[in-house]
Amino acid sequence: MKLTTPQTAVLIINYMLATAILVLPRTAVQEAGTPDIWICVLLSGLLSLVFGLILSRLSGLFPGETVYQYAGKLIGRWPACFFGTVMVVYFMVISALEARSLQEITSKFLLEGTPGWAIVMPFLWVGAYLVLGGIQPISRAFDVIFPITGLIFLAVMMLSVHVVDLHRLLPVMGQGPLPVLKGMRATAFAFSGPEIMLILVAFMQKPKSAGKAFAVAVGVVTLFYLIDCVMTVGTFSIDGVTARTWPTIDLMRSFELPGLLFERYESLILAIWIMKFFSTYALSYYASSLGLSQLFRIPYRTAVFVQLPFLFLINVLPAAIEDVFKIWDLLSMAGTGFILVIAVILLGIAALKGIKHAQS
Amino acid sequence: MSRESGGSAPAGVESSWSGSYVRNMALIRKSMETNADIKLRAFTISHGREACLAYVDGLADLKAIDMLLLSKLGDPTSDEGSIENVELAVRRTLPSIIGAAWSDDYALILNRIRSGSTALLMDGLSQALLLETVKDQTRSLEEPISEAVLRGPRIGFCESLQLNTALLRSAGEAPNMAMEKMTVGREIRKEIMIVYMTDIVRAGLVEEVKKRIAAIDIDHLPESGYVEQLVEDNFLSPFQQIQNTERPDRVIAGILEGRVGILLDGTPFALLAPATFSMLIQSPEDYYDRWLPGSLIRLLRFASVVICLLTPALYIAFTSFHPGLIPTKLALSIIGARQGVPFPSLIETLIMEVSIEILREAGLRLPKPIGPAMGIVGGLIIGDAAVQAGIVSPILVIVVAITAISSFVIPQYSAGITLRILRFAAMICAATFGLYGVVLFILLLLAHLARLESFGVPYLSPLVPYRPRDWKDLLLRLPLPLLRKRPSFLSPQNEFREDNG
Repeated sequence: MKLTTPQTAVLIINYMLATAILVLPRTAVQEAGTPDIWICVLLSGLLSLVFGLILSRLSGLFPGETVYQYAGKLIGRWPACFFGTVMVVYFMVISALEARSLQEITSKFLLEGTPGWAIVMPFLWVGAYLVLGGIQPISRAFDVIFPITGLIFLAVMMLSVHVVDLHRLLPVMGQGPLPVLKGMRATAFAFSGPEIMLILVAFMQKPKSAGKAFAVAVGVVTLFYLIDCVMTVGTFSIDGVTARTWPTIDLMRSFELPGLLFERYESLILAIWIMKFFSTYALSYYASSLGLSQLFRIPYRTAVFVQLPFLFLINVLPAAIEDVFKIWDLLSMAGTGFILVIAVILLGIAALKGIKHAQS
Repeated sequence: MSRESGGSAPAGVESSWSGSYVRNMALIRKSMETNADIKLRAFTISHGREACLAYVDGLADLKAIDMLLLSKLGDPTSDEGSIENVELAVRRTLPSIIGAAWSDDYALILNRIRSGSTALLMDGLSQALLLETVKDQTRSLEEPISEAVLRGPRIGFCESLQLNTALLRSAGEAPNMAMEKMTVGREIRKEIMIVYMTDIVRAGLVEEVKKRIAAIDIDHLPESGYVEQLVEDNFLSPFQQIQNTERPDRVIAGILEGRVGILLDGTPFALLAPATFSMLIQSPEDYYDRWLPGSLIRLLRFASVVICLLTPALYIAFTSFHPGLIPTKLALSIIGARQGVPFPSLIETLIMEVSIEILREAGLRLPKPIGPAMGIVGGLIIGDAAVQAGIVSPILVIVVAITAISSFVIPQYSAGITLRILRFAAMICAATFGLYGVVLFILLLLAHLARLESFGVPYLSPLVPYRPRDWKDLLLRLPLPLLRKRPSFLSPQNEFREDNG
């Protein structure tokens, strides 16, 4: 069974949308210094879309093959092996960091005093169990997670409408376009994720609609980020946003609806949002396991289990959440950049070699 | 393989059937040493010739035989003439009245006798005549106990395979309804009937079912639960991947969706494969009622599933980990009610949940008039006394009662059991990690359900992967005129169930 186009779109959405949404307003405002970050979000979305389309096009040239398999045909075995290893490490670090931010948030808001390893270990195991099933079960689980998390997030955001003051978003481009470009440094990181197309397209029923799936996914993700940025900046103003580590969570804290079952929404939505962390973690875990097994010809199950201790090790490396963000920044700049550059080179070589889209 | 030899040949006697009546009689007599339930009835037919009936007492229905034989053969004055004439008369009359076959295969004859046929041996005839005299050992058709409906047919399957297949056939003239017979069992052979619609069922599904049933190698299949457990995809899963039902209308509805029904001789429980999670929460009644009540009741059932699974876990999570999450007044009243309770909330909840499980199991085994009384004594008196004694908090009694009641809403009893088991897992997760534990539990459950498949159909379908067309008959049951197509996740050959337009 292959992935349908909506399934692919949901996979991409769940992969892109995770930790970033909780911190995006702060990191973006810190870079930009103006309330224009919603423009940064839009532009970064566009940028991400362009990259996603390029990568989908590249993968579409080799139906049924992941980048680990077809890279060798373009640039030779050893360079391809090196590139594949970089990607495996990249995905491993992403999934480990995702587990780490989950651990940080959980121990801060839900389980104070519980040791970090106790929080993260069952999380890693549950992920490994899902990843062992392969891409179809992952996709099915994501299909369930997406509407639950999406609807509850939107609902909570809508509940906060009455504390939002849109005047705080003004002036638009008060200091010209330069802060917008600066802010994009942060927002672009939130949109890192096109690289997953290098793997997903191989499993699609119709590889040709990969671009369409990606466009829809980026559209949804942009919408979520936009709502998030507008709401948080509209509530706290830019000064308030920079002062908070988790501005989105604080937004949910800032209002109270008497008479409803829950009093503080942030814990509820955090509990729900754990599923999103789980999605990103699981899909990058899958991507790295698949890479390991395809590059080094080891059984897939072995690849999954072999990584588990390493994921845990990477997970405990950063001393504090600030380090996680730093590594993440670096990773999104260097890692994503590297992958994108290589991918563009691959596409160029493919064009030179005259490999055409397979007629399906 | 002693499957066909039907018992070892008696020592000392020549083991093969022969033309000699006396030798054949000796052969059967000898076999009666280990088959004491076989009866031999010798009598004399016309012209003083010896004849003998061999049958198992109680299993074979002798009334028909008696009438027949006595009227045709037993009359010594009848003028049938020579031995050839008798044989001719028997050959002519008997097979036309009840099923009969001639055989000289000793093993076959012995096997058939033991499964209810009657063998007629006659002096001068080399073959034995095997008469199909199996008595129908059935009870009357009753309403299924485990799947009661308010509206709908009141007939349930019974223990006889012939009667069950007849029940399915009697649904109406169905030229495409196919039934295939298989025989399974190493020591005790039993018949299994596979029922499907030739024009609807997904290509390859019947072959898969047959392949899996043929692979069963076990001494005996006492109940269809054995078949279920031996052919399901994942025997470690707490979820049943094959639906069981006592209701013929459910089997009919199932095969019309493109599924395969499996009927085993000797049990009123038929199986339907593949099964998905949503099917276990549906009841035939959803379709018999009008769509609005049908839909609302379905929603209620889905809500009950969530309540049954998570309420005790959430109670534990909120009281021991996050009292701040619930409104202050509610938190105060819950904490206030827990004042003086000497146990942590996990122990408190476990005590109550386990005792209600005990009550339920006890009520099930008791005779009908006592069962409800047990429930009242247990539920009301013990619960009240426990609160009075200060062992548990009154809020917990509410939680436990609601959980227990909601698990009864699941129309499929065995699916309800799954939820009852998982509830305890959820409670332990909640006691370890609070709300985070509950989410982890949900994720683990989700991962498991996402991985599970039943005969190639994802267990979570039609919910995921997204099939908007099938959602019309999932959480809601939209009006019948809108449900013109069969569920697509079962990939039926013929999609349309209403006007092929």
